Amino acid sequence: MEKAEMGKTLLEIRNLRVSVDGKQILKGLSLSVRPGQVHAIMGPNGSGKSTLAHVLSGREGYDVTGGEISYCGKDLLALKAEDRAREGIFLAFQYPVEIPGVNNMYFLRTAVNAVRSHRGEAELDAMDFLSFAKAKMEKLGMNKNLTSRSVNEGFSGGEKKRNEVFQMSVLEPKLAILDETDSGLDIDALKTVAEGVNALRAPDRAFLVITHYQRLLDYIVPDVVHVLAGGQIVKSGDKNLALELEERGYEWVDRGETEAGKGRVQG
Amino acid sequence: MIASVQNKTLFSDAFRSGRALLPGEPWLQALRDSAIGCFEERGLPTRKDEEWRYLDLKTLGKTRYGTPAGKPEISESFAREHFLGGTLARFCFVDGKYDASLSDVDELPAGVELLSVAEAMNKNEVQLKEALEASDVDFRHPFVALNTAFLQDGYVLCLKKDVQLEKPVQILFLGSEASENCAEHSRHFLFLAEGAKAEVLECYVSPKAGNFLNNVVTEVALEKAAQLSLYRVQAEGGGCSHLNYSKVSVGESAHFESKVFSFGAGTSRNEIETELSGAHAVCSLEGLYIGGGDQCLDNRTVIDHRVADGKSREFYKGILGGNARGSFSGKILVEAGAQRTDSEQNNRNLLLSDDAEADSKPQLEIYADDVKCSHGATVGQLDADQIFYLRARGIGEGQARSLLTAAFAMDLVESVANADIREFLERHVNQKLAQEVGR
Repeated sequence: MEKAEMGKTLLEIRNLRVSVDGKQILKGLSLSVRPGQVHAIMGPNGSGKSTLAHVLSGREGYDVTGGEISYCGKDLLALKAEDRAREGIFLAFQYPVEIPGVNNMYFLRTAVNAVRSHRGEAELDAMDFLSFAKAKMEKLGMNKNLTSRSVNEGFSGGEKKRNEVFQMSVLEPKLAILDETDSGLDIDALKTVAEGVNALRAPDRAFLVITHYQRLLDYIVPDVVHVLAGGQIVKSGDKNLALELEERGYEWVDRGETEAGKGRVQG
Repeated sequence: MIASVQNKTLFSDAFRSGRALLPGEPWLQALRDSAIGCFEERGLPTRKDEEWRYLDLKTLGKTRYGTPAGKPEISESFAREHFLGGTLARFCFVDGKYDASLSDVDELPAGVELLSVAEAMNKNEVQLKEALEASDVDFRHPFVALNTAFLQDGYVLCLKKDVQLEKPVQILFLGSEASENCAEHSRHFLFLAEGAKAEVLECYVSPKAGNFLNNVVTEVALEKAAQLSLYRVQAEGGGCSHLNYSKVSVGESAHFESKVFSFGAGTSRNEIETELSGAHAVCSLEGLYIGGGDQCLDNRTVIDHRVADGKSREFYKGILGGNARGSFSGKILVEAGAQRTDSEQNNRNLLLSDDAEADSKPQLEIYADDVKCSHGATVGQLDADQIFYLRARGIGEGQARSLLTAAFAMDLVESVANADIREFLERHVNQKLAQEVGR
């Protein structure tokens, strides 16, 4: 295909087929993301949105039965979850996990140092890390007491999502995947989280924003919008596609499923 | 049955042949004879005894234990590694015998008596005789009977009325190489008079993995409003069998806190029987047992709510890898008059391998009608979602596992108020986890 473009591609998914417990969820999904872009993946419940997020992040329990994923020119599927993270993939969880007994800052420092030593950089000591992290926290307007607590333990829904964005800002990924980050957030929390994400937009960083609703995309404005239905991307377009979807509902694209894949857009 | 008779003979033979060398006046010798008689009636327990079903006493039953002979060899540096900082006093025992050169009792204030049982046999014989003869411990317990029959040393800590210690007391038990195939029977007494307060850290260690028996019996009596925090680190080498039995009486408004950390010894049993004998008495029994290899770690507790308005809290946690087996059995007895008893029991176990085993046996007997008693027990593995969450942030799987395992263990340590003790415990937990979980 567009060979000239290949060098610039950060993530290239070709004809990905994934099944869970013998049930086919993704049925030939293709997607191409370049650095600096924000791609939104929208779709009805059960369309395979979260499966895509989990497969990209390396979660076990998903059988890739066909297709390939290339990330920075590497075979992503050959990498373990931790190595994907070290190579710059970040998944903001739909349901961030509570880890009682593990301090939030200790956890993050361990993560940052795992990434740094993977890159051959010197590890940060506790003091250096603290000042580095505090600067990030101020930028995000995060409550300081989140540092002294255990990872996500007893956090409100908004605090958990904000903690995800905080982690993202500290880990400085190349590809950030936001898995239904808007779920369970009121409008104020949604705005704060979106501001945090927007502040991280950069020419060398791409976002994959997975969402059921168009609402989030009012705040995180995407370059490309894809509609995922029945395990495939059935329609792609610019940000106006999201608005159209909101208006006409998902049945509108479901009906057009026969034309699947043809509408792939170069962003 | 044959095995039981045989191992009974091993201990009886050792007693008869060594009796002349055991210290003490005729009254003590008579007590020894009576104790060995009780032991011989029943012999060593077997897995068929309900209260002993989780404990594997095979090695113990096959060994002809002697008495440590010759000069114990313990390096001072090894001893020093286990010194607790910021103590009021340190009392050391090497191979079960008090060692003055490693001890430090200069700072003890007035109103505190800390002495070895051997010393008490000479200096305070009358009190010791009273204590032993009035003793509440039951010779039907085979290891209590053996402990009494072979009794040689141990420590006595007495606090007079309203004496409150500001710093902890450490009691350190070191097993040297000379203890190979030997048995150490230590007896401890802790008496706190009204309003007294103390913190005690007992630590049992040995540099080598040789086979020896550490058989410890402790009696604790807390008078009105007395407070005792008793921490125990049991971390001998793998060849050791460690049996530890405590009988605790908690008086009116008194507070007994116990934290047992059992990490060492191939076979261990930590047993605490607590009586809340005065109104508003409180006890908190906590334990952390971490085992790997073929270790067998048994914990048994009894809390007897005898009178009204008592409160008990119990929290035991186990981390088991390899072929290790850990068990917890906790009996809560609420007697008919013990109204408004408030009792909670919880046992949680983390299995790190497919071959590890955890057994949990809560046992509640309630004869009063206005009580609040809860209990819970879990056996599980590390949470897959938590492991993935850490890996998704770049933390390797091995490190994720050790982080989560340490988190499971550490809340028992973090609740320790004294920073020196907390750091001491943390170091031991981390060492043990590094062995069993690795990186």
